Amino acid sequence: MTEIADWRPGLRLLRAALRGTRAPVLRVAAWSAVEAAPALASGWVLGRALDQGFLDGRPATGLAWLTLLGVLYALRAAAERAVFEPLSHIVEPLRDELVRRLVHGTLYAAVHRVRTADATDVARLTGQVEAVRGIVGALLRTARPLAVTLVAALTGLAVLDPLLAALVGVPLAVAVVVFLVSMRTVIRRRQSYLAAEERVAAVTGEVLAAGRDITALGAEERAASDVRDAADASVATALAVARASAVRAPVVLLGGRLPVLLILLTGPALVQRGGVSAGAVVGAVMYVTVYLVPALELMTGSVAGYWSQLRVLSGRLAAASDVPDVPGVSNDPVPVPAPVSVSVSVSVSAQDVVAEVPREGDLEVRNLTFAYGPHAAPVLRGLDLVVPSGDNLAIVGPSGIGKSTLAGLLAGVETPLDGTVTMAGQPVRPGRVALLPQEAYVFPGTVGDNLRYLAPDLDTAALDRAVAAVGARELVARLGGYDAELTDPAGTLSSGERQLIALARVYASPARVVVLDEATSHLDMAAEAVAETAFAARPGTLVVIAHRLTTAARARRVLLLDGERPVLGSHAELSATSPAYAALVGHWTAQAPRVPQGSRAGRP
Amino acid sequence: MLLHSATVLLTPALLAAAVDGVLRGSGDPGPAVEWAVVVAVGGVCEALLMPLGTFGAACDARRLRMRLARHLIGLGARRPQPHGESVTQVTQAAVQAGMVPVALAQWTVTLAGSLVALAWLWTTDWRSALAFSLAAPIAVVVARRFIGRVTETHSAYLASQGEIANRLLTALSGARTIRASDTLHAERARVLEPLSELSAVGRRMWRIQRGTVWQFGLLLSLTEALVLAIAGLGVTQGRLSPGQLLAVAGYLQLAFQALRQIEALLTLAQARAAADRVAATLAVPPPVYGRGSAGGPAGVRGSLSLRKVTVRRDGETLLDGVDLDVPAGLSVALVGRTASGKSLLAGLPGRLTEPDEGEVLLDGVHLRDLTAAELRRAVAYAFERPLLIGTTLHDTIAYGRPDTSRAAVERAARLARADGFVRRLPDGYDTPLHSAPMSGGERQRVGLARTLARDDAHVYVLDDATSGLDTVTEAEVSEAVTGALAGRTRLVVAHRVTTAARCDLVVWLADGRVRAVAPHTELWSDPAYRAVFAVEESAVEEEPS
Repeated sequence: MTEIADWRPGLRLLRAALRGTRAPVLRVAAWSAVEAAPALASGWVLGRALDQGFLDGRPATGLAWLTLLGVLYALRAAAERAVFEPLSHIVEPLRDELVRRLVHGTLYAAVHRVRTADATDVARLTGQVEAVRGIVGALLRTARPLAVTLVAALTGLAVLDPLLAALVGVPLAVAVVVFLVSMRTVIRRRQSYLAAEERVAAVTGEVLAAGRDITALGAEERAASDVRDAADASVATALAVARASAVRAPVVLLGGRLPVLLILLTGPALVQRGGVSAGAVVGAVMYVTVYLVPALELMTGSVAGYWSQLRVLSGRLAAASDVPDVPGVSNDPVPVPAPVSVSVSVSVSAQDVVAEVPREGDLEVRNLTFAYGPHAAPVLRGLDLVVPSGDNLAIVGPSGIGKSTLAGLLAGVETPLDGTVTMAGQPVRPGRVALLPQEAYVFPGTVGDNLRYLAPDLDTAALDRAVAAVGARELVARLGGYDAELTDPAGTLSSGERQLIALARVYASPARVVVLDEATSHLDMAAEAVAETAFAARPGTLVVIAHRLTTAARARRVLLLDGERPVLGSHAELSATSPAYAALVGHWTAQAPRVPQGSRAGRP
Repeated sequence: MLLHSATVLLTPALLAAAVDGVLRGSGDPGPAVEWAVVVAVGGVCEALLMPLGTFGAACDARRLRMRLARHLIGLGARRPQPHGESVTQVTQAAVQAGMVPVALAQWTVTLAGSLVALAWLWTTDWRSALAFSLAAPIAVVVARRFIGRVTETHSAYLASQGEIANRLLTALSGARTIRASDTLHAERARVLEPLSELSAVGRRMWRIQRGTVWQFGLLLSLTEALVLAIAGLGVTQGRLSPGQLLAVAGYLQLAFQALRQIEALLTLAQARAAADRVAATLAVPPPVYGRGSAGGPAGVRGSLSLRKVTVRRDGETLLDGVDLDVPAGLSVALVGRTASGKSLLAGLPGRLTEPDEGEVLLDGVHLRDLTAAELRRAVAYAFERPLLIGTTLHDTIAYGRPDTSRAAVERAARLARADGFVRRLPDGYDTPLHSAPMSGGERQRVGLARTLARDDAHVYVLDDATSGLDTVTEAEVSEAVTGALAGRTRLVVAHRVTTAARCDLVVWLADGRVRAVAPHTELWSDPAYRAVFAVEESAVEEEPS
């Protein structure tokens, strides 16, 4: 049996999201009091109307009392109308704040790899924010008058006749206690239900994401059965919640119906003794049936459901919007040192900069060690490397050896276990080194927005130069120029096209060190050559994670990562001295038989 | 449900009798007990009804969910909406839409109950009934207008919400770039841009509710006061007893209940919007499979023929009248520059690409005539970016073929060079997929193993399936695969020269047409063909060392 989850993080989140809504809350409370007036007065007024009017042969007096009731009703309608304005000032800002926190928390966690989130999580979170919005709105609309009504009706009853009030009050109190105790089970089962629904979302998300693969595998039945299992579990937990919630009926019987029975059974004695008037009996029954019973039904029904849902949901949202303290990572934008004014024009070469001062493009790696976990074998151990400004370094090695990891370390995206990576004497940090990963990031927006991502103030001429340099001119023209809107880049652009846009973006950026992590993998070789040549001619330092020989051959120096000892040298040196490199090159050149008539090399 | 509403309907009349009994001072507890029994029965009914209603709604939701999920799975990659929306439809919209029948049933019973209550009013005190009957039509008009406006606004609300979700998803896909560029805050602002619109639509919904609720409230309350006054006069004139006055009030409440369900109307309106979304998805026609090949030719199988195949996307012709014959048992490389139509063509044999014109034949049988099972058995795919799915690694490799043995799984993994790193995982092949972090190359190898575990296919399509491997591993995998699949038809989308050189034939694609079909060695003399693999030599020669 699962324990009820800690309610405090959820409560903190709600409280924070409701901050600044004091004024509307007070207004809602004030209008609630007005709304409760009919509940307070109705039974009493009806009793009067009967005793002094209709039963006494004076219909005019009765009508006058009822007119008073009509006025109270009109007042309630006015209050009902007025309450919506402050309500929307509570609920809408609440949703806005929840969305803001969630977006921040989710993005932050993904960017700093604290948690990952996928389409399913986003869909789930969206649904949960909406649910919280709906529940808070509904609670404020229905539960708010509830408490007021209960108090008002009991007060009205007490004024009418204290003895009748006692007959009503005692069973009511017992019913409320029974109900509150039963809430624990309801909340626990609702947690299971929510977990089951999350499982449905997770399985569905996975299955639908793999749609193409499932079609190709002909595994539709298996995929559907995965979804069905999750859906069945959800039905079972939903039923368990409903069974636990069924306690509401006995609670209403106990708290709302039993008092009426008591009044009916003791009524004759009370009326005959003369202490209680006929009008008072009718009024008391009216209080109970018209106000108390609906209020009890509301409390045990929707309000209980809302409350238990709110507890569970706010906890989930709190977990997703949580921004943990990651050591060494600031939550605020890092103040970037005054940017070195760099012209993208190719005429300024790195050699123009005086060599004595540490230059913006100097990368220095000292004793670098990195592992993915405290017990994992290090991917890199004690690496030393100096890449002077203007250098062009290719990193090669078999897959899984840690090339991408090194790229991340050079860009300050990964934190080393030991050792340092510095640029111009300063530790590298995200934003100073431009890292271009294999999966190019192109977001919905204009082509220009995407190209200016790293340099918002860039003029069209500079964009033109960058686009032309990396060979993206044709693509940009086809898309419709810089102002063309890309509504669904992931769906409409190919991986290669997205890589071209990202390449142009980085080319146009002011970064003096560029790390291309297989960033041209989806381009054909000609396009790749154009892009890499452009980056080599760009002022500053270029590090390329290579997956083709051509890249290594183009670079000024090559770092071979291969097991224990990395080797550094030019393509020619390594080809001559490193057996491991020669093996790699052997494979690479076998790919490109220079003599076309040669036997089909490598064909078994 | 009917019994429950019967008890509800009897209650006010019995209560009236009981109260009158009290007021007359008769010591007879009979009416009070009758009332109590009926009320208790009603309570029991309700206690039973609630789980029943939930059960009904849950079953309806489940049925709709499964229908939708099956439909979406059947559509495969051809889904009409973004991924997030598809998932939301299965998780949320189907549940909302599933509530419609139960909600409608409750609505109908409540309405019927209200009508009975109204009938009682007419027979007991027609004056009160008349007052109510005058108010009811106005309330209905108010409600109808409300539903129309809410449905419309709700759709606008969902649209803004979806926009934020999609922006967030895009940003998540660029997490590494965002981290490296230190642009988290700019991204946050970009994702949240539609929030003001969402907020505005949200407030508009409140305004619509406000306008309706107070009109409703006032209408009902004033009607109640009026009816009480009429009934009160009735008491004075002796037409009604005080208890009957209570009954009039009680039945009036019941009659109102049909009108009072603004929340129910709102839920129904939202459920209707959700049902519309689900219906739109279900209306997308699923792929139609044939009745079977009726045997087909025996002997060597796996010959493919493309007859004047044209494929268009968004008005652009991507494959243009392609004619191609692939003899059974050969390995054929598809070569061409980016966007020459290689992957589209590779999708044809498994109907992942549907031709707009022309036809595709497998062993002389139209693909459209094959059943889904026949087609999937005959054609196996491996992708550049396989999406792995399953519980454990074993399950992932055997996905969709539950009877694949461990030995077969291991054999496939060895061929794909995935065996080594799988064995190093904490529980080897029984390691849960989610707790096995894999690089792109490792995922590719597991995906390839999944394809090779299907060892009975006639055609294997390898769509850039080894692009993430380094050259050494790639060469090993290629050799192993070539050995294992000897004699089967292979269609290999190739970016590397070695891959093309290893195949029996090369199909050279340019601008959506077949430019040449010949062995690699023959084509290699053509500079334009070499240019597809591009500038390898020149770049090496240019290298200043």
